[in-house]
Amino acid sequence: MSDTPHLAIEGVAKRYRGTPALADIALAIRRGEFLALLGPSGCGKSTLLRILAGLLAADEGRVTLDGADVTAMPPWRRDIGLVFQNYALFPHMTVRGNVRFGLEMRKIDRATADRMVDEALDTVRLGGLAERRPAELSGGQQQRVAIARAIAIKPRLLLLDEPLSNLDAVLRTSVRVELRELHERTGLTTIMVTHDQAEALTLADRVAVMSAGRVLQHGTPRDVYETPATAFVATFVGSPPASLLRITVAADGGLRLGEQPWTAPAGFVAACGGAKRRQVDLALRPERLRLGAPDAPGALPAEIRAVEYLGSDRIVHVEAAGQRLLVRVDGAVDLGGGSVGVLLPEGPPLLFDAETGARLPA
Amino acid sequence: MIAGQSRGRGLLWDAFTVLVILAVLSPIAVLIFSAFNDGRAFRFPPQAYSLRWFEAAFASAEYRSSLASSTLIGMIAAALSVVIGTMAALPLARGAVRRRRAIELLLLAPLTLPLIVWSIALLQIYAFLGINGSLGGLVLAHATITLPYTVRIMIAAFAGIDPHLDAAARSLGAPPFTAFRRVTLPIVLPGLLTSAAFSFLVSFNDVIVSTFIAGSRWITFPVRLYSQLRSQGVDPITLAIGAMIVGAILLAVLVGELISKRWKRTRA
Amino acid sequence: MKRPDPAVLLLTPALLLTGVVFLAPFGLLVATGFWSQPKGSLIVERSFTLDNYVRIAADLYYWRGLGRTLGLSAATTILCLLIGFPVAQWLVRRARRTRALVTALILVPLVCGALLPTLGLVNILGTLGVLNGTLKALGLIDRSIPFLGNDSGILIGLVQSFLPLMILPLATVLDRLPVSLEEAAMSLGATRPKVWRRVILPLAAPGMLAGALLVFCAALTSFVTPQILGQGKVATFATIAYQQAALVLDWPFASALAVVMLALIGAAGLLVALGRRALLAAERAP
Repeated sequence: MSDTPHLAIEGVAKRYRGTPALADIALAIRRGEFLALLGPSGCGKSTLLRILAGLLAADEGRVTLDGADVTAMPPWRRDIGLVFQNYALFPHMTVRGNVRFGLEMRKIDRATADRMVDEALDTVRLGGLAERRPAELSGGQQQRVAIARAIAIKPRLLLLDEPLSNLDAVLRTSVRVELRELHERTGLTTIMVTHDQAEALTLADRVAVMSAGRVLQHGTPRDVYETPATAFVATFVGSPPASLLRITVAADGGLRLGEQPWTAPAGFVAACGGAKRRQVDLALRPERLRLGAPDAPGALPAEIRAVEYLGSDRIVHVEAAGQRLLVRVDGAVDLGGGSVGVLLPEGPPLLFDAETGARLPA
Repeated sequence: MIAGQSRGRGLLWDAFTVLVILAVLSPIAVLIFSAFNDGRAFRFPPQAYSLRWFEAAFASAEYRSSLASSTLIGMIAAALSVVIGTMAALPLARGAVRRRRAIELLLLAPLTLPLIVWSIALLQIYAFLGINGSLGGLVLAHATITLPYTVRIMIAAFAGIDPHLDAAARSLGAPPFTAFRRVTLPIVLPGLLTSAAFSFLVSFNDVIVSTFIAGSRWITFPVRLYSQLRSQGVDPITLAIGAMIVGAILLAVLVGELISKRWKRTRA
Repeated sequence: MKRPDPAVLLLTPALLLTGVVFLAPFGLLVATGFWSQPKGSLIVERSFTLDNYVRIAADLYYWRGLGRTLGLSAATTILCLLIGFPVAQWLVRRARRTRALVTALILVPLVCGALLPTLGLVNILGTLGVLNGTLKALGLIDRSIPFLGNDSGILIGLVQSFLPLMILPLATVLDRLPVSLEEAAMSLGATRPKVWRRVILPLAAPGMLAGALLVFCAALTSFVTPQILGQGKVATFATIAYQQAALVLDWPFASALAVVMLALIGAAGLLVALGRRALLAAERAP
């Protein structure tokens, strides 16, 4: 495998009527990689996907595929498979007609095309339904047709736009597994757009978290979860996401939670050291926090405000120094009274500049 | 815009569309413009402009009486159409009718079957009954051709109402007719006004049916205009009247649109 | 005594008006078409005869009128399709506000009735009208082109009045096609013409057929536009029928002409229905 990326996005920008939708996007994707573009709606992830497919022209920057500049190449010459959120199956064609469409455009002879259609349909396990019409299929089956149609053309790249969003919750889990298996089987370089962090973390080799038209972090799911680059990433990834605890660093380097001075665990003061007279946000993962007695050593005194029971565990909403935190505890634990102590995790804290959201070096 | 495509294609398309819209609007625009032409015969570009044809329009008893006829017939026909059409739309919208599709299709027939063919038949029947050119005959014919518009608009209006509202009013002690009057009717008021306006407009503008069954006593403006155009060509006074009619129609549509927007905002 | 169903009571006046005043005369028309009226007399002979139809079939004048009417209607339909399709497609890709505004503009001539736009058209198409004046000012022509009194003026008038009848149903159908269908086709390798032929055209065909039928029938039965813009020099089937009914007062013959028009419209409707069937069948084929 060579070192040059399969797909390279360099300095891509897009504006809609003057307002920037994408700014200075740079990403490199290796051959065979599964990348998830993760972000809330309006973050620009779909815009980026459309630029990759050629359905939208970038205002600036370039896109290279296999080392060749494809920025100004029209979509019909790109050989990029695209699976739409609404599947976009041609309603006037059968399943076979849909899957064969791209092969007909490539002037592949009928017999070969039909064999390739069957192959693609087998790959998505839709073998017996070739002569049906899209309207006669379930949502899950329609999606598989859309995937078969995209992979039948042996694309250089497979793009998936919110592939699970139109499926019901039960189907979603099984399709997630199938998508991962499909990727293993075909080895296609795949880029998926999603707003669901769980989807991104479970499916992708690498995740690019986007917000407001920028890529905030590009790394493995583990990187994104363990060492979020910004406060936004910390509060977007995870279920439930991390809570932020606002800490004020006084002129003397002492820490305050709200109005009260706070004796933080060792290492905190040093981590916040360069940040005098500033406010910092401490990201706390609910599953890394524990509850103890209010007077336990090193514990943050807090009051329980609400409890969500989830069966295996519970999400406890507590208030400490006027700020809300989420704590995940075992479903069987007896919570006792209203006052508790929140025990912070060991190890280097995740601290962010409250103004810029940028990570402070631990 | 798709990658690798120039902007020219989109601009060409925009230009084509604008051109088509201008072409569609040009007869109305030229009608208004040419009413200000001073000469008796229109020529482009005009040599002088004046308001004399507007003055002449107000002074002409002949055109005034035909406009009055059109207005009167339009108002009576619209009233009939709204009452009869609303009555019919109520059960159709609530789905309490057997063979609903067939009945709707029947009531919309005047929109689908050619009016000229009907007029040739109606002319003979009216002659037989001796009501050719009578006020009653014209009103009856106009109510018939405007009815499908009312039925369509009112079915949509009634279908948009939560059926539980009527039940709520009745549960609060309102007898059926009171519930209809106090709850349903105020909600469909915009529909009623739209139907009335549409019916009036269709009647006021009708030339096809009226020109067959018009007599000498009740001559509507379109009938007069048509026979004028057929026999003598364009009378500049009719340009001025036409311009004023178009102005009134556009003003009415604009005011109606503003009112309905306000209405929607206060009841959203 | 059983109380009558309120729904029936509410529907009765509308059904009477449409059934008796509107539909019944069509039946009468068929009957009077078989009656006759001796030349120069206004007394109708109420006995069965095929004379009226024989007269239509035997006289070349009516055949020419029929041919001209069908030709004008077909040309109007085709022009409306060619002009209306790009406009409808442009329309469905705009934001809601633009779309509502443009739709309203397109509807303006329709709201003003049949006559007032025709009145304006006379001043556009006349020898000293806006069109000839502009062309002369641009130096494109020296002598006026006669648009009035021949087929060209009528065709312009028909297209201009019935274009909205094509654009609106087309826009409705095109609006139901998600843009992603075109995008999907492009991503699969289809160039613009291929997208159009393989995806848009087959899916828009029902709307095109509906619009075409609407425009064709409207053009076929229109008599104000051909009469005024043709200045009485161009005889279409509808203007002939109007003359017979309103001026010559030969009602049995006018009835026969009307029945022929009705039959033509029925045939057009049947053709469209068959076309729709064929489309469905073509889609079913693997």
